[in-house]
Amino acid sequence: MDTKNKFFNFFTFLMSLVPALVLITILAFVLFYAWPSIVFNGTTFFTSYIWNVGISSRPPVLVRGFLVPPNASFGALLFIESTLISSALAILIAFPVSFLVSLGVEMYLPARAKRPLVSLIELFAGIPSVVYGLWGIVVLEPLLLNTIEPWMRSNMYFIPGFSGEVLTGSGIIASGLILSLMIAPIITSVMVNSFDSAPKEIKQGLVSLGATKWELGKYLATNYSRSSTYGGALLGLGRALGETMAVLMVGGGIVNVLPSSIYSGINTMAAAIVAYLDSAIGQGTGINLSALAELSLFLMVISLAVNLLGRRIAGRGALRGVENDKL
Amino acid sequence: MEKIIEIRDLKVNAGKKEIINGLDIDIYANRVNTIVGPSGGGKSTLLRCLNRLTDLEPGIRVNGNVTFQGKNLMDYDDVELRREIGMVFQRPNPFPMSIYDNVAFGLKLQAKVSKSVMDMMVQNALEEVGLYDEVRDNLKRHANTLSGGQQQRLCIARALILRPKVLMMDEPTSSLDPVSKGRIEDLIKGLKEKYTVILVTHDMSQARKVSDYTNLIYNGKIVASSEGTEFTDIEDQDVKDYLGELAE
Repeated sequence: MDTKNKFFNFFTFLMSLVPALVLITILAFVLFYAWPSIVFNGTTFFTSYIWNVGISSRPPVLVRGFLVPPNASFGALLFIESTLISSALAILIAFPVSFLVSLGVEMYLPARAKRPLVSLIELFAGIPSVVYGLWGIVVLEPLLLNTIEPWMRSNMYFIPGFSGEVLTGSGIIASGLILSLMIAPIITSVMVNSFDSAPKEIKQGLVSLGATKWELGKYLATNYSRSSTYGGALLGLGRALGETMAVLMVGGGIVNVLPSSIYSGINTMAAAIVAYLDSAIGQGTGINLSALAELSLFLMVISLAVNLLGRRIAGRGALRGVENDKL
Repeated sequence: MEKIIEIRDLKVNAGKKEIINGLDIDIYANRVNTIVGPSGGGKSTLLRCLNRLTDLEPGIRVNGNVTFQGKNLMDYDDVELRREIGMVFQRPNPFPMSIYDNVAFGLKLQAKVSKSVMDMMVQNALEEVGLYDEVRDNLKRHANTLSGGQQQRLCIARALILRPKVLMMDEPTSSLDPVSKGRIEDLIKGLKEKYTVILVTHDMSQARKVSDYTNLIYNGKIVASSEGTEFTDIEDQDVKDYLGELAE
């Protein structure tokens, strides 16, 4: 082997390590910054919803080895809950809609119309989130405030969480709707592709036995395309969890109050990080920045966990498909 | 002989390409109606028109007059129609589920059936294709564990459980070994007591074994039909050549 080849081999080997190295570096970096907060806050970070940056005009005090402003305490429960609720609502809306859209595209559109439409759907995924956020503030929030939420309150009050007070129009519903708009294209495009790639013999076999288009779609989604169905949903969930700008704009920026009804304002982890970063950087003890780093770390861990879990479930689903299945 | 299906002037286009152009054929009830012809001659397409699988392929246009049991094919509900005209494909296509669930599948779509009735129907269908004794202790096993020939008989059972009037078979033995092929041919001969069989094949010896009424399809048209498998008075030289090749 000549030198050039050796070099090339070594170089490509090195490059293959880059993704792992990048991930480890980012984790290490965030962990390093988060460490003071992890020690200082302990478990209250996850059990308390009070985010208090303390009194920075007074001299800092020493707590568990770290200098912090007096009265400072950092509880992220509100941010965590906001993130989970808005993402869950987004999936709840986007998943069925995506399923119906992809079923429609697969079953009813002629082949020559299918491609352009899928491209159009995929184009939606490229719209910058600030545009969605702006639309949310200008169009969606007034609509929610004046029409939809009052209607829900007077007609759906018997559902737990639907009887609270309508205040601003921003909050859980606005965030969930906007997020669902943002993730539906991702889920739809994954689903359409997987419906498309299911074996033709099986599709024809199902139809020949008198399966309707709906039954065919249901079968594909729960069997052949099951991995992609879950995969698409989790990809969407991953995006929703980390989405920042749109939910920062329509979430309501609530502090120190847990949501009490579906009309409540929220403040997701990603939104909080952006909102508090500026003041945290200027803060002398650095504990504010550290708390935000811990929030980032947690968000990152959740997102990674969702992806890993998704792969596991999808993998198991694919295996189970070969063992025993019921429609 | 009672005609169950009559096709007049059937034309099928895929884009600009004519697959079938002006085809006439009669299908007789409780007979094995065989359609013989070269690949690409329109055999499979003809079957797909009859249970309207062509509806699923938006690029394909079908014209012509087809009556099934005296009623225009297009007046049937497509799902209803496919239960009455079952289909078995060239390659066995069991669903990725147990043997039992495969057979029960079509019936389950159609109606809520109690477990005991379903068990009986599944057993019945498997018996009809001579598979029950081979799998009776393993009904929960995955269908992919069966041999190719068993899989194909499973697919036939899966169609028969719906009690169709007509069973269409698109070269059902072309991917099977000689023994499995023989078993399916024997099976076909027995099926005509209860069902009308439409068999597509390019295997003349198979047609000789099982066919009651044979149609020769060539370039998207029926060029000859005969009781048995002997074709006389064919004038077209290409068709004569093709038959010569088949005989060899």
